[in-house]
Amino acid sequence: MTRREEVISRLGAFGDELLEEIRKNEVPKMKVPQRGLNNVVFNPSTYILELGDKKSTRNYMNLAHTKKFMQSVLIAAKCKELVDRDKTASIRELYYQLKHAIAETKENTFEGQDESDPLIVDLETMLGVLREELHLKADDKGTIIGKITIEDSGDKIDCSKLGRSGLAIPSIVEHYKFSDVKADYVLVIETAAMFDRLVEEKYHINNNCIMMATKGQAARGIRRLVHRINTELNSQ
Amino acid sequence: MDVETTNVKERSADDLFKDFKEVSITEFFRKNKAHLGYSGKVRSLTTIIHELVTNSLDACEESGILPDIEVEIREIGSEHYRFLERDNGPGIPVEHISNVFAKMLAGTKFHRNVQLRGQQGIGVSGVTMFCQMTTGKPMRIKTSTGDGKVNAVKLMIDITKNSADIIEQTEYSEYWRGTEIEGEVKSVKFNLSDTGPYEYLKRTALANPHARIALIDPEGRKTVFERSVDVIPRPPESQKPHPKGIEVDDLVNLSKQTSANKISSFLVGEFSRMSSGKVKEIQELIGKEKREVKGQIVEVYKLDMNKSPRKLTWADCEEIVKAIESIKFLAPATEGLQPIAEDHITKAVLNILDPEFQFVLTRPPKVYSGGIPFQVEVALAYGGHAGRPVEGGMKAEIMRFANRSPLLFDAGGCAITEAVKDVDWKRYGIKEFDNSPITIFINLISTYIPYTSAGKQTVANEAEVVKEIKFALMDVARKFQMFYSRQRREGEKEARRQMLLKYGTELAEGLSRLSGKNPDAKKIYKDLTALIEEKIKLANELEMLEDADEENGAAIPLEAQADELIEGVTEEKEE
Repeated sequence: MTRREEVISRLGAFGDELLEEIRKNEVPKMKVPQRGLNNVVFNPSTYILELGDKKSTRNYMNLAHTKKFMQSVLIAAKCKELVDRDKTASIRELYYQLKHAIAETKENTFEGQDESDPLIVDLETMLGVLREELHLKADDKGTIIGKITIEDSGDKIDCSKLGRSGLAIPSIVEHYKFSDVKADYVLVIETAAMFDRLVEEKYHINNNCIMMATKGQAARGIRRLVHRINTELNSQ
Repeated sequence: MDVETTNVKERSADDLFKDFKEVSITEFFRKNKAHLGYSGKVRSLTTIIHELVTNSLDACEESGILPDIEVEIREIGSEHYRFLERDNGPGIPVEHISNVFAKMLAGTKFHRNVQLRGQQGIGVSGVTMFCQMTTGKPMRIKTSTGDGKVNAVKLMIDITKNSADIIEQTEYSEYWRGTEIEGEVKSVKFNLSDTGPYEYLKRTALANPHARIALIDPEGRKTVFERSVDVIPRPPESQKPHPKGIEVDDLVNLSKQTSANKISSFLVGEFSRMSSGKVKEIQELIGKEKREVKGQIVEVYKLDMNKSPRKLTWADCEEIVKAIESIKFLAPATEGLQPIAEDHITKAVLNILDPEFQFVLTRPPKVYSGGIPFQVEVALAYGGHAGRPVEGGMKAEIMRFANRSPLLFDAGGCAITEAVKDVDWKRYGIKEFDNSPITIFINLISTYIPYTSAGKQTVANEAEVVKEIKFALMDVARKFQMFYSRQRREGEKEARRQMLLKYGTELAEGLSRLSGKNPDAKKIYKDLTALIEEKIKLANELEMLEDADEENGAAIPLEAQADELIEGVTEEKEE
């Protein structure tokens, strides 16, 4: 079974479980791993923060959960469709595709993207699949500049030859291949303004480093890219 | 300054009294019109309607007729109105017409110790007077006792003689019974505020469920407050005064009028709850004195109870009243009190306010100030037409009545208002009393309502009265709370059901797409609906068990169990 088939089957099983509960006249429930700080464990071997075993139950009969429950199912169904057809959507697209008025009401299934985004993470943790495996991606966020060449889908991109703007970092960086890395260290900068200023001053050239801007809190693509550069290129 | 005093000339008594003359009745009226209800443009019009309607109601009741009253107010100029009031009462015998409509301080119920609406003796003559003062126009009266003869009279008040000045009088044949009064008035204003004639009539209809009252307002709209019950209230009986309420002046006056031969029989005969034993007690309390009888000094009672009451002096009466103060008497008889009765108020409230729910209570009679009987009736109506619509919502409305007569003015200083404000409504589940669709109806019944002023719009803060009103209100509030919380729970349950079902269609479609087995969305929705209904039914049953336990006095928090049953084991926690 390919990973893609595995994802489809997990999504289907998730739905069938709920259907079985309804059929048996039981209250449909889903168990979502808690993502609070009290359920985060640092794994020293992989050097990664991982979720613990604590779970909370989302229950359709509890009015506080009812809408979220329905929204989670809609997201899962949409993802299954995406994976089935081998298409990718951004999380914003997903929100717009699912947003519609509920029959006979003036209420929408989703009122804002802030309602759908956390539920996507819920789905990932619940099923043990990555967002990208659900064929969802976030918008590009963050920039990388410096003496590193990245190979993406057959193209070789030299990040030192992109002027002052650098390379925009997408949410999926797993397929990147690195070559020609000539830097003493990587400098990760939170603010875009400071990054631009340092580029202007040619800091990365003068100090022989790679610079990355996270533009606010680091998105997943940036974090994974930093992690990969750190673990894969550190020895060189 | 010293210089000036020398300039003052001495004046003789004749000179001083040169300017002394009798005050004319107009002047008296003008000076006292505020006390009589003729102050303010809206209030004056309401007072006119009040006087006419009150007269009609009293007349109908006393002659055993179900009142049918029509009021018409037409605007004929700026602050200039023509009004017409018509009843189906007994009619007024022709010889009495001038007394009723044109003689101040004359009436059938002045000086009767009886619970009636009006007592001032100004009444309809005041209306004639006010109209005459503002327009110079006479009143037109048509009345018939139902004998086929109708008397039509146009009259004014002859202010110098305080009697009727009949301008025109005709008699013609027509078969109906009742009285129709028509007049013109200026410097008044009609509006629909809570002090206007509309509100007055609405409240009068509420407190007089046996009356049918119609109003045609200046806009031509006709509002009919239909009769709610077909029972004419028993006419209240005149009561002998209770000794505790007597004053020296009253006692002196009564002693001059009585036909009794002895003081003892006078006291027993004129007052309620007075016995020969009590007379003896009074005599003892006044005490003895030494007196010379046939050359011998003997000790005798100061007051000889065998004396003729006509020989009672002011000093004697003072002694009697003083003695009465320290003697205990039975509480006065309450037959004179005439409550509207719970079932009648309920019918009127349903008829006129059409609320979602209402609670009515008539408390047993009580006594205030040591001897004046009174009784309190309250009603609480919620929803429907209860409350007063204001911009952006509803406001609570307090309807005050004294002997069925609405008190519309000066609500602020009234003991009834105070009592309502004093109740801690939050304790009874009414979070924002002032902004709730609530009407509070309070009828204070007494042979003597403790008004704060001659305006008769505010009840004085008598501790016993306020306490009684508060008790009555708390009682209905408790009943309201039980009903309301049940109602609210029902509402919440229904909202929950609606919400579960609302998201159900989306959930079913989502699941149908998500499942690998391609199931039918409609079938899923059907199963889901069945599940929801069953869980709600289960929760209801648990709740009923809980209610039963509550009523048995054992409050077991089964609600927690019910929640658990529906909501699963763990709660989702926010990150």
